[in-house]
Amino acid sequence: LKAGPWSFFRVDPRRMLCISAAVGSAAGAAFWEGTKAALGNASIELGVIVGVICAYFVLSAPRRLFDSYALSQSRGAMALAASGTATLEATHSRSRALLLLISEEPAVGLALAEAKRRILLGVSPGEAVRLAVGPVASYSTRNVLTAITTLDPGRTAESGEEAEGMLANSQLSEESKLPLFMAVAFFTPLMLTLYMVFTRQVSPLSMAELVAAQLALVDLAFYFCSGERPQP
Amino acid sequence: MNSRLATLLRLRQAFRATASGEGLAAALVGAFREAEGRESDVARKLLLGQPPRDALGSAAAEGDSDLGILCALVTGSSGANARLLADRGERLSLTIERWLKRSEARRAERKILQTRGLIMSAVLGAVLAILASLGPLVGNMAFLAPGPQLQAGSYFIPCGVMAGVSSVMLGLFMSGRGFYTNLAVSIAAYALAAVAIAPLAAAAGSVAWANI
Repeated sequence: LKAGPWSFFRVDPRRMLCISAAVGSAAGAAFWEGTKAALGNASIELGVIVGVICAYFVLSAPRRLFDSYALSQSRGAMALAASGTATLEATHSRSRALLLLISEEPAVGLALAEAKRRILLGVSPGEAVRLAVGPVASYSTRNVLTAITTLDPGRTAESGEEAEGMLANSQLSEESKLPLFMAVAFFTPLMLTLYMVFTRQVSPLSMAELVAAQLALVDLAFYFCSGERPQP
Repeated sequence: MNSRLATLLRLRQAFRATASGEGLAAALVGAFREAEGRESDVARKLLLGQPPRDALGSAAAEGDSDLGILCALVTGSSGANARLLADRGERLSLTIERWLKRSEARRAERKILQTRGLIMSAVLGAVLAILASLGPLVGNMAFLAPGPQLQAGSYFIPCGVMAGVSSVMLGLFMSGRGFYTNLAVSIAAYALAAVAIAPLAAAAGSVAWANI
């Protein structure tokens, strides 16, 4: 839960904490209310767990979104670097090189359009890029754009280290979380069935509550474990 | 050969030809002349006079973000030094090739994961069917709580729903849209195990200790 993504999305940390606490409390209370007849006292502990996980989801949403943006943009940074270097070589002008650059990535495209607008208004390329790279989450994309404005061809030699690092990170994370999800998906129904058997619950309502509890727990585990999977 | 790798090699061939002095459009025509499928139009469009940006477009990399990077390099090349661009593009294609091969390896891993997911769904369905069949017998021993006498088959529906929910989630996690296969396998295993365990459950039901 780094503060970087929060400032990137201009989210006030205190407001974010309040929202996540409210969402977590609401989810925990809903879980407790929905399962207290079937689970008894155990529904309090499970409700707290559900609330904490929901609060974590809300708090970490900006970071997950930021990582997703950064990965997508860092993959395009290599093409941007190659294109920028070739354009700079052809035009020998930082302004013209920036004006000719195109990016398919929406946020980088927006940043480039803003930088081009400022350049056409007479702002220097360096200042225009510095003011326009706000929506760019990827470090390497920012680096490439800045390198073009400083006529530093060495820094534009982007070879995708950031993208590869992020992909490797997400793969490791996925490998760690896969067994967790498999365990939750497999053992939650077994545990709830044993609970149902040993507490001799036969009413359709309590059975439905246990099924709903299982659905909630497995669903939370699903989102927790699939949050950082690399996009196909 | 994998179609994505074939497209990548064609683009690399075009970059190599451009780096050695050939025009970008001519190099693309040479590289895509023999192409098939959706790429077959690239050479035709170029020969009809369309610029590389329009001719290549996203046809060669439709739905592929890795190849899209290379295509973006070509489509965003107006006004650039073509030889330098091609030189950089060729180097970039080596990185993209590494990514594509890794992506293929991950696709193979995903198939193994899907198989594991199916096995887990089947095992889960069978285990829950056994619990649903023998649960009333165990529950009637009243280890933890007194309560009404449990009837055989009391837990078949909730256990079946639980098996279905878990197998659907397992399928969504491991197979994406193919989750219904997990559901079908789980339900089939549940039904088979329930039928197989039925004689045992019926016999155990007549044992005196089971009705304590």
